[in-house]
Amino acid sequence: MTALAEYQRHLRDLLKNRTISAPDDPHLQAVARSPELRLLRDIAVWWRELAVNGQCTWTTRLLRQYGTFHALVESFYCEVKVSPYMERAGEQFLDWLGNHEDPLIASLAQFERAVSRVRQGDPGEYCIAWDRNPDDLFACLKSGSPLLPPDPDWRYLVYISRQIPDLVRCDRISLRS
Amino acid sequence: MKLTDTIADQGTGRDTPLRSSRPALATTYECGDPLLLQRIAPLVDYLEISPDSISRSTPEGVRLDEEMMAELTGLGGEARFLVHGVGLSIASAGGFSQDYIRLLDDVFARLPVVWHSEHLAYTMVDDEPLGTMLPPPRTREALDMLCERIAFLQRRYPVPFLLEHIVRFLPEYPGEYSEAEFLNALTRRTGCGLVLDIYNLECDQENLGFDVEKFLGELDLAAVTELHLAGGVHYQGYRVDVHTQRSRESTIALAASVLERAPRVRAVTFEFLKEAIPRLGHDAICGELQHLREVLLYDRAG
Repeated sequence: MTALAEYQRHLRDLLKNRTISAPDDPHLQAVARSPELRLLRDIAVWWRELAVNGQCTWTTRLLRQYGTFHALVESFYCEVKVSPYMERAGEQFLDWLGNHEDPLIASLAQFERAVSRVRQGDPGEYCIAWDRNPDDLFACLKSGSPLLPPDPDWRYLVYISRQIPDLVRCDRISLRS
Repeated sequence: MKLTDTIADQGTGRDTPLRSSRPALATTYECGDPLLLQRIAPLVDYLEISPDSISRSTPEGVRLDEEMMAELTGLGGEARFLVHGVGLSIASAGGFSQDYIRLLDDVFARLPVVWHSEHLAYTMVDDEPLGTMLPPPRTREALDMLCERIAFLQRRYPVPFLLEHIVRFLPEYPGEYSEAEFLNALTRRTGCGLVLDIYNLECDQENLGFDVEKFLGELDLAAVTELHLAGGVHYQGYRVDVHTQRSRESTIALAASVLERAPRVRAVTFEFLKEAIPRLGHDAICGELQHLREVLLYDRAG
């Protein structure tokens, strides 16, 4: 590895907040301490926010309601090799959130991603489970009103496929035996 | 349509004759706004396009966006383009972007390109996009690598290649060259030209206390082929190179001063982001172009 390659990797890791121990090099230490490092990261994250906001409308609204949008986009930027192309960055963000520990965030991200895939011609069928009525959720997100709590009695299964009229169908299954 | 001027056969660098008439005027066009295009086309000599902005990521890889290309090819045979890249990442130690080269090949095959340029920067490391641009350290190793890559571009494409210095934010790497020395070495060894971004100089001056006059005194201004003008904003106390405003009068004055001293400038380009158009408005963009032509682009030889 050349000195240049090593240097650039160090800077990437600093920018993406991956450096666990302080580097030995005095210049890299100065970079790590500089407020401008944070500035550059903030600008990069701002551009990723723009991409995500434009490509993942519903997930963005949910995260803004939760107050976690900025922090999650920053984590996404730091952890993922985010494409410079907005459409691809949006898809990557939804894929990344599809395993989120909050089931509502995960369901909504999976839903937006599946709709995007099917609209682009994906012939497959996707099924996403929800802990609450998705129609109510979308109404809340659209109006900005508080989210309704999970529905303890029902599980909602949303199917997305080109074979379904309007692409989407929702089945409600009782959780009561 | 005014996208024709007397500069069809121009070159760049030291082999070209000194400027004998006014430089051309160019501006950014990132497609998708035909009303804007209709208004700016009669005001400029060239359109500046970025392959990164007129392409999209597809399952088969990155491709030019056909709708956007239709807009550009629809301008007709008189239109001429300045290609200004973002995604080449010419200074990545691990190699520059092959995706960008494929886009560039396609652009050259389909549009009349007067020259092309790229930022003197790296935007990816080991194929990982950084989401920002970083300047290479000014070392012998970086210089040798860049010269090889510039030579590759010069062999591959039949028009001049220019490099643009970028705004710096991070503490300087203790390199072996000053900013001007490094640019001079690049242009001397390869014959490439330079884009001098006047707004970037102002950002460095304001953020870092960069001595612009000293830099201009050291720089081989005969290598400067194009000037970039833009306006931006303050963010977290720094002047940042986000092109969202009309040029400030101080930017225009500095550009005028450079034009007096740089004998081979062939074009002045007003840059703005697509995202800034709703706030800027078409009237302001057209007003800026008319203003720049009036105050900067008169015939200095006359």
